[in-house]
Amino acid sequence: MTGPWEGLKRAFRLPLGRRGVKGEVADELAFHLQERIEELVAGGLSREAAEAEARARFGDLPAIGAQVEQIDRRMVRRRTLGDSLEALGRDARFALRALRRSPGFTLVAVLTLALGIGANTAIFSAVHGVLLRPLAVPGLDRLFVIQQNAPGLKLFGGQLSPPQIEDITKHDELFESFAGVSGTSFNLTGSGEPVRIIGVRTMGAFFELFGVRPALGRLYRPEDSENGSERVAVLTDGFWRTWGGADSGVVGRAIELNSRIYQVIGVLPASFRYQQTAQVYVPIAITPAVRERRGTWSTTAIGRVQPGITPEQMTAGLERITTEWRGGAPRSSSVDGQLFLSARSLVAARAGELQPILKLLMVAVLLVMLIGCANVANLQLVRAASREKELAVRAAMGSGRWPIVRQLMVESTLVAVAGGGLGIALGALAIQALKRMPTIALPALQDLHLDPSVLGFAAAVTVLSALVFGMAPALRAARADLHGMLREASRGSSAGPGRNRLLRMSVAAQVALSLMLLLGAGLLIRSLARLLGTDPGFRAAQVITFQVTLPAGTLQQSGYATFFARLSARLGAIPGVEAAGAVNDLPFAPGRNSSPFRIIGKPVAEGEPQRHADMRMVEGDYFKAIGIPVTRGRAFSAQDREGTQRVAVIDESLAREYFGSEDPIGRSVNQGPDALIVGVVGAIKHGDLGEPDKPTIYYPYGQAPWTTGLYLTLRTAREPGAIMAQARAVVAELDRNLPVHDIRLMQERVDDSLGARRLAMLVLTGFAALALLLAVLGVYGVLSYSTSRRTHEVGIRLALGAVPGDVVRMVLGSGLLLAGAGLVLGLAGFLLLGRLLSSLLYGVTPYDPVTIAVGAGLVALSAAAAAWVPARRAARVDPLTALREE
Amino acid sequence: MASPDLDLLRGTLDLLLLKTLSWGPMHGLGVVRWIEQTTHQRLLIEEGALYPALHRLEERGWLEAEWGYTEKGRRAKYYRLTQLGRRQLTAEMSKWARYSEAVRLVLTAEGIR
Repeated sequence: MTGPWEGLKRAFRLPLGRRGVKGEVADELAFHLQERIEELVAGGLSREAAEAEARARFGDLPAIGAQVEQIDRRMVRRRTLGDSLEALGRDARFALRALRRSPGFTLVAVLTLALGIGANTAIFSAVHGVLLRPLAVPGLDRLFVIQQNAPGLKLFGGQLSPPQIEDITKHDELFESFAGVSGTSFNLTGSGEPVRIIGVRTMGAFFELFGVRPALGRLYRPEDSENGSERVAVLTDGFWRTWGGADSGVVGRAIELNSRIYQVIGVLPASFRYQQTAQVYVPIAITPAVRERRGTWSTTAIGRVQPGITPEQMTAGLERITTEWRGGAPRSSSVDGQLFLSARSLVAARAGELQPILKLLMVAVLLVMLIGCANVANLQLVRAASREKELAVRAAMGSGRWPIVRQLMVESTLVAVAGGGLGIALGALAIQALKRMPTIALPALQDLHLDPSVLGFAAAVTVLSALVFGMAPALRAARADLHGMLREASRGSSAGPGRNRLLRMSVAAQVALSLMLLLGAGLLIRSLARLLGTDPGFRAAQVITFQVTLPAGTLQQSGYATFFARLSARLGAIPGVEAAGAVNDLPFAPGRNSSPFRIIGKPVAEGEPQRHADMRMVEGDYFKAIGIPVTRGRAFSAQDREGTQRVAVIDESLAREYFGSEDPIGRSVNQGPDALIVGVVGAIKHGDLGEPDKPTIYYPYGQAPWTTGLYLTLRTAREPGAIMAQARAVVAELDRNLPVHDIRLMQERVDDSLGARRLAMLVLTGFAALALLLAVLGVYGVLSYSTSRRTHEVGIRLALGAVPGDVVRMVLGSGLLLAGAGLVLGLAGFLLLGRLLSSLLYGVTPYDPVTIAVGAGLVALSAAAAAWVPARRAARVDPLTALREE
Repeated sequence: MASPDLDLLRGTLDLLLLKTLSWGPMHGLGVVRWIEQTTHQRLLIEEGALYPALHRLEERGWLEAEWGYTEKGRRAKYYRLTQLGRRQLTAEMSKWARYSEAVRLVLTAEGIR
């Protein structure tokens, strides 16, 4: 009997023989029966009797067979699983060992992937947080902001008035629900110090639009604003916790806003974040007076369109509405005739100015990712090439192709996982760093955190890179003529030249991409530098600003004028204050008033667009306080008050544009009432250092108290804290219940306006540096590889009398050629795409020669540096060893 | 052997199988024959019930199986005790000894005092 106990190692390790479970079980049981039958026949029974007896003794054959099959199947399943896991574990261990043997490759590959994925994660989190996440609302894609456009007034993307919103609400064929919302602020009094709080006024189905349910109490309904007298308020979660003390009995409490009593009827949930800073929501009281003022366009209109409305239907519907407003008259060239409404997706509207920057960043990130991927792919190719022999030997020893491919895949998976894990960690760090950067004052970034969906994205990228990078060399290994390789000299397989070309192309591409990023960053840096150097038109240093707002409707117009005149004078009297003044719209603060105007004696010519100018009301020594020079005539004085000749001061840009060389003093402008020009002041930047000059007309507040809140500006060389304490005291003297808010240094306001640009510049520079680093690594890698393969050739040259210098030149030459190709490619690409940057640039064109020269020079130098090491190494080769090496 | 207590029967059968195979590898029929011989035909096992038991023991790792050839040249599946099986056998045997001793004590007791 053959010893079945001898071949035990082969026993049952692989899925049961060729017959499978069913067959084997059948065989086993059949054997038993056969033997029994023969035994019985030998004992004298007939064939049939023996069969019957054997069956009877055995039992229920089919049932037993089924039972045994079940057991065997279970065994097979478990063993196959066990085997696979074991194989995987083996592969993993081998892979780790192989990776440890080439630490250079492993480190660079992991780092490259980590940097690429980390950058991706950080930027995508930012984009996600700022652009995409803010509102998690049902039917978000159907929410639109309806804006008013009056080309005749050079007004685009403007707001509407409450009566207009009421009109649109009636069009329920277009809109499922419609609402109006406008920001405001209140003086909160009645409990301790008066405080300025941010409020939101709404009309229509506002809360319904966002699907908000109250966390406490109830929310007011559209009807509450229509009857115009209900004074109710809804608190936000944050405000409920601070002012309301998180008291669940807050419903019914009275709250005093602008000296009027409102009743708190509910609290919003913490998840509702239409406006981050809002503290209280009140209804817009639509009184008959409000209904008359159709031209006060200061309410944002938002609506949810009916499902199934196409953009064409929307446009047609909005056109119908404006025709209705014109009383049925068609479009014409008059101001009213040109009015039209447009719809903008809510998500897009809120992203605002950040959009172009974020898009740019996303492109940059993708480029970096591409470069990183190219790098890792190169590394894989190079490494696979150097392991051809090892793999060939394994295959020859019977390893089979699939295990080899599997092991290579496991290796690249390990690299990808390590790179991805590190990348996510780096990304989280980068996000923390972004949040803390002091130079970037973007409120939307405060909320930044590592998003789970971004994490998922990073994981997906990781897995993808594993597959993509591992696949190529693995398949190549599987397909290659392994036996042929063993026979050939180690100089390389027949696939050598092809692979080399691929490598060189890929490195050239990396150089090209990094040049593009560098140039982009360089342009942004120059733009920012230019902006920072731009004169805003006033002297921002040593100026403190703050806001004081009187509640509307509590005083007669003259009362406001008197109040601010007194306030201004008293502030100016504080020791240490060189000048004090006030203005309705401060430069670099939110809010700008502008309006059409006429020049008496200079009518608008045919075809000339309507004239538009910014409108400012100033009090006290405003110009002196903020440092706007008076270039002609005089500034306002105490004589210019209610009842006296209406006067105005224009700025240089208006004077230049409309008066040219004529003297504007003595002429009149009309932006409402006629006003006599008595002086000209310098033009200033109102909101952005890069903006073009806009004509501005200043009026004395005493003659035009058309707003109840002003920005006070104090020029002082003394320490701001001390001065503010005294300023507060002055305000309290005049009115105990008046809060002083939005206290900031003027210089801060100017600096902050550059926040978004700074962010873009910093990040892009970071990316460009990263890209350059990766490209340098790529050049280095490729040159190392190609020179190492050419040691034989180098040896021959050296033996034949070449000087090491020649070798260095040869390698450097090929490296520079590579870089040169990349530079040309990159330049071409940048010239093509550079135009896309123009909206972010200031003072430089995308074709700025200085930037291009510096950028190209930097890349060339880096490439040369990268080529230096392999060049030196090649030159130091000992010719004898090189020749001996196959 | 008809018995109402299936669990006890299975456990006992397993013990017998382990012990039988401790003498050397056998195929299923061989086990049956050996038990019949040793017990002088007094213990008659339903032959079919053997196979699920053998396979279960193999699943547990107490037996190992391999295809081999009989003297007549027929293909048969042979079972052999593993190291683990051997240890299990020892444990089961001492358990059985204790069990049967306990039963003996009860059966030979002199009655309630």
